[in-house]
Amino acid sequence: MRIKKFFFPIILLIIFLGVIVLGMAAGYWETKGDGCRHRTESQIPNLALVQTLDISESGESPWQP
Amino acid sequence: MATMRKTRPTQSRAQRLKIVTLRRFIQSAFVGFALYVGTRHLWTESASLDAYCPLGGVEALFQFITNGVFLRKLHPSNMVVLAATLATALLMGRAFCGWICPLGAVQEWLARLAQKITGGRRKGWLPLKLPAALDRPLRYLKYGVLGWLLWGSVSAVVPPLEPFCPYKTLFHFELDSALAWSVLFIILAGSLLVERFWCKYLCPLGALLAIFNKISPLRVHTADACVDCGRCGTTCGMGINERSENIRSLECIRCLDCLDACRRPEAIDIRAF
Repeated sequence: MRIKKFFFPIILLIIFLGVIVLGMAAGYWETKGDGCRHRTESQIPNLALVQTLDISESGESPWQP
Repeated sequence: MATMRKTRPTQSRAQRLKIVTLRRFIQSAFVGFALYVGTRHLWTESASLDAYCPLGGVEALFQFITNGVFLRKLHPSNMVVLAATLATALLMGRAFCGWICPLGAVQEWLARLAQKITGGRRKGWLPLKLPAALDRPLRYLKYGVLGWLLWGSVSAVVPPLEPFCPYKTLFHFELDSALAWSVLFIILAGSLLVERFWCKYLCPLGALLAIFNKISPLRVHTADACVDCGRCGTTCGMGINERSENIRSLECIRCLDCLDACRRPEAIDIRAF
């Protein structure tokens, strides 16, 4: 099916802006930190911390033979 | 003279209007919007440019799906813009790159400036066309950048590209990072030498959208009337010389400059399916 060349940008803008407007209407448009959880340094698994916890849970200290 | 008029194909008024004029208008509007958002954020506590970037959505995707959290500086709006970009890509391939991306527009303007400075469309020696032996492997770099970005986003706290993102440095006036300015300078200087340097060789979003070029139903189509004059290939900013029936090149950004360049209106058009 042949499409007139001037319809191409119209279709493009309708889809692009249309999805954004739909996202806004659905309440997903948040452009600031309020309301969404951000990843912080403390959320990264800390291997050293995990190892320490494992040792303490076993009740044995590596420093006392 | 009369004979020439008879042989030249007739063009309607709509066909005589250049699609590139409309494209430049739309690109300017998106560049203006990016500058507005970037400048506004400098003076007020409004949303930053990061919140409007579809690539931010790509960077945030893994963490959002697995943990329900966003990388720092990214927001739900990035997902909405990414969804909008992917929706256009599903139907029209890399049209986002050719019509909407502000960084792509700036690169095009730089290439035109370089062309004018060096003597215009016919005599100008800039932008350069790299030899195929160099150009073709370099184009695969962007898929590597996309892979690195996706891999990095798995364990990242801030978006992996954020420290030196040229889009952000340019429109957000990030003056504090030497690395960011160096990367931007290389890309802008590269765009003077090679048209759409970033899009061709490095853009991870372009790499992602390129995949859709193979499946999108709306594409440039050449008909039997094509006489292989090569005008479309000469005009193409992405350096595509493909003249197959349906142009499915991963590099095609659907800018439609080839439609304007063609002197036979029936030889090249846009087809759906």
